[in-house]
Amino acid sequence: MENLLGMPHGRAQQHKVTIGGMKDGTVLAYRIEILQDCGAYPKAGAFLPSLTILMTPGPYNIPRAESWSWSVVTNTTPVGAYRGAGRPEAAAAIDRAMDLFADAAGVDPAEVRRKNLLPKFSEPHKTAFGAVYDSGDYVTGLEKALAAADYEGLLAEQAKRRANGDTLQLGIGLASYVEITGAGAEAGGPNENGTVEVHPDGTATVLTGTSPHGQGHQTVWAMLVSNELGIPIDKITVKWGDTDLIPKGGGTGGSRSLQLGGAAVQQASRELLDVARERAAASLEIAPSDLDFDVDTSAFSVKGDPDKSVPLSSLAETERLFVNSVFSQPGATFPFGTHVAVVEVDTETGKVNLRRVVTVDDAGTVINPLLAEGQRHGGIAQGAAQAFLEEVVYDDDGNPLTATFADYPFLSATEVPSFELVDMATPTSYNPLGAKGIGEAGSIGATPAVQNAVIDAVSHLGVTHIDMPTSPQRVWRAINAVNGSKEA
Amino acid sequence: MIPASFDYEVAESAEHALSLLAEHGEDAKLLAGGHSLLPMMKVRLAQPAVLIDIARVAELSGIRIEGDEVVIGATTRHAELAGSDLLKAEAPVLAYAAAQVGDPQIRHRGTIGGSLAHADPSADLPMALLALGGSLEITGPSGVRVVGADDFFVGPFESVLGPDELLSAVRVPRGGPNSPGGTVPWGYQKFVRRANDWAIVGVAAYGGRVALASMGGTPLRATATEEALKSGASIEEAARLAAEGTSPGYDFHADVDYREHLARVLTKRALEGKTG
Amino acid sequence: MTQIKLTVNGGARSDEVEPRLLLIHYLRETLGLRAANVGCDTTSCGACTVLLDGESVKSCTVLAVQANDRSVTTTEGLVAEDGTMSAVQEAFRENHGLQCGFCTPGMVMAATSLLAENPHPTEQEVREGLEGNFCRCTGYHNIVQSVLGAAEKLSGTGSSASTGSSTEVNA
Repeated sequence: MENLLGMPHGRAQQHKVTIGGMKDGTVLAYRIEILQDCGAYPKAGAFLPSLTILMTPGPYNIPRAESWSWSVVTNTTPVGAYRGAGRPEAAAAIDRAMDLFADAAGVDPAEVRRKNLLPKFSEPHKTAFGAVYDSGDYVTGLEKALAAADYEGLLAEQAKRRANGDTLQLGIGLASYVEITGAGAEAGGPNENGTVEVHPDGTATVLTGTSPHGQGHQTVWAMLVSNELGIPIDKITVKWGDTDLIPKGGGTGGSRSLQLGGAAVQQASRELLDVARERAAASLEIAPSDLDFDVDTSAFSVKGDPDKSVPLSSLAETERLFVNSVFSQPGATFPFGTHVAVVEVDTETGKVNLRRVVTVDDAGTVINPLLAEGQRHGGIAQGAAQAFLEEVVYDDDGNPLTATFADYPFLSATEVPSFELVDMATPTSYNPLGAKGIGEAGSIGATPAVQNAVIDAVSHLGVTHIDMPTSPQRVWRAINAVNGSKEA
Repeated sequence: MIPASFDYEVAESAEHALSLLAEHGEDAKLLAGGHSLLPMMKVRLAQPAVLIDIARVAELSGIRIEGDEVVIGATTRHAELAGSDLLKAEAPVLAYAAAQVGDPQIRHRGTIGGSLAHADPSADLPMALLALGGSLEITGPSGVRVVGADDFFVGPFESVLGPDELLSAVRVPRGGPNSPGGTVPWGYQKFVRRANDWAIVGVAAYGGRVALASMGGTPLRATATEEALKSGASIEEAARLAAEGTSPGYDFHADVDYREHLARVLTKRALEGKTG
Repeated sequence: MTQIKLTVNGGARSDEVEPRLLLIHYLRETLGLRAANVGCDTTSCGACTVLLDGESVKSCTVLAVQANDRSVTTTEGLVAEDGTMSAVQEAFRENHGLQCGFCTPGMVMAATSLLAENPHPTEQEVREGLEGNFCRCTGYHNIVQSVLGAAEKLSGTGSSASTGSSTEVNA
């Protein structure tokens, strides 16, 4: 109870969107006006809209765009950074606007996106809002997601149900998004430090300035070090969070850890090899360039004299062998993707059943697919929940009505399907891994995709918009508002 | 999170439970599964001075056939009801209702007696019992009395059970293929946003009886619908009357008019024999 | 104070407890078995799930005195003496069925109970079987895969699982 009342809540933005363009589906102008409810204390709530503003145009090539925000204080729980922190709001607004525009222009929503997405780029692209997108291939992401979802097949199924007048109607919702990761508040731009130490017994210790809570840094940092130094993963210990050992670190947030913390650990490993090479060369009284390092055996050998092998760990015997390295990259990175959501709406009750979510989430190079998928699943569920289920509710006197899990409609396993993830990896040039951040992407694409899907399911009844979460009552009211009461 | 202090007694028989109730009076509450009572005690909405644990009184548990009724001991747990082949054959709407309560963990502990005595107007079992037209065996200091489901629930979380009484058994009519009267058609609709929620609106239909949950201070009969069916109206026409005589509340899930609408829609589906 | 005698993870216990002591607090505070977690106040989240006589229960809504004469199993008790994890635990590890781990002990116990009652669940039955256990991190996908994977392991044959979404629609 204290947690639901006292810990920061997420989102709480109201949007007024205006969008216009040509009948062929080309968008010419877009405006978003943001009202941010900060809750009782304007902490994170005051600055979140700045991220929304930064990401105003999303992945779209919009000639004229404008956004501004007000942050207001209310007598409710303070609002803070909640998975996506300002970017899901931007995506929700632009992708809802895209669907409204598609409806007004009479053009298929996928076609509108296809027409307006920025074409593929590999040199950084600066938007008018000041964001420098590092790399992107948005149209390919869209096409891959549509193909995996069998978009044409879904449209056919939807048409069939509409013709039959089925009670359960099918809705298809799209969202194409781009988001900003690794943009920390670190002095001197995005950076993180990592320490790698090799011990005489052949084990290694990694110290990281990130702070994982289930993302799997132990696994991946060990993988990265193992790849460089040839030490088996199960002989590598990763430590974090102990300020006695690790005086500096940016922690984990904003999807920064792999691209900065992982890169730092990789860099430290490479620098450690340089130090080790110098030591080995000095002890053999040869030039460092006369040594080869074989990662499979984790040992140096003299060129032309393969029997003379110096194990890496032996170089830690007389003097500690460790390197602390700070990795910085030129700026934030911008993962992107497209989500396709499929819902069934019971047009008599308004109940929404989420049937499928098919996604492309491109965060550059994937180091560990299992862990990356886990982040996508979690983000998709969280983003979807926001669209059709979860909300914090206060009554007119400001009394919280959702202060326990008995009232707050927290998503359970029965409300979501298994998700369908499509692979796509467009590397970034900003770090040697080619990696961007994946942690929040799922929750950014899923929210507008699911909301759009629900509205799409009843658009043939004349519904053009339903605020989220699309609770059964909201859906029912939207249907009735168009058609009048349908009680026969 | 932590209940107020109380004394704890273990009843060895129904008689023992009754004598303990008589001894402690209004300060005592009976404890079977505790899944209605303990949540209230944890937020201190209930602070009984004494809990009398009847969970191990063997005579209060069990499912058996007695003539044209199924008799169910009050401390029989939801999971047992849901999994009982006998109940699924003879009174499937009750077995189905028990399977809808909460989640598996709750069903491993909660009991039919506890649920009925708790008299939550949004709950599954009171609604199902009302649809079945079952009855409740209440044991008190002066013996056993039987109260019909129509008369048992008198207000929100209020039944006719006196502080010195023990709900000992539940009786429901047999309505399966092997039952004396043959199969009675039934349907069950529980409208929720999440699987383990209480019903925003619930409907149980059994033969010509229709019971509603979350449409008033107690589970209610949809009497206008029942009358219409009796006079030969179609299911569709009869269901349109389902909200008559009800007084649903409102919360952030549903306003009054939406609940009334759901009652109509779900009554039609339940009368068509659908579960969902 | 009330005397209770019970079996916890196969070992006999005898303790004097206040009647109002919740089983979750008895396990965590009295016995130091901290796998089961307190995640809510309203019997909703399932993080406290343990087995009582082999059946999953929410230990936040059971009094320790109600466990008298019974056997309780916690996640710690699923691990064999030689450190081998149970099939369910192993399946969670293999399938990345956890991230922060807070819901995991409850999920594992709920899954263990589910599979004991229904050894070959469909995907939908797994999801419904876990309706009393909340998770924020995983989106449930890998948790469901873990349970289906455990079912396959335990039964030695394929389960009737599919990874597609269900065709059931609930009103």
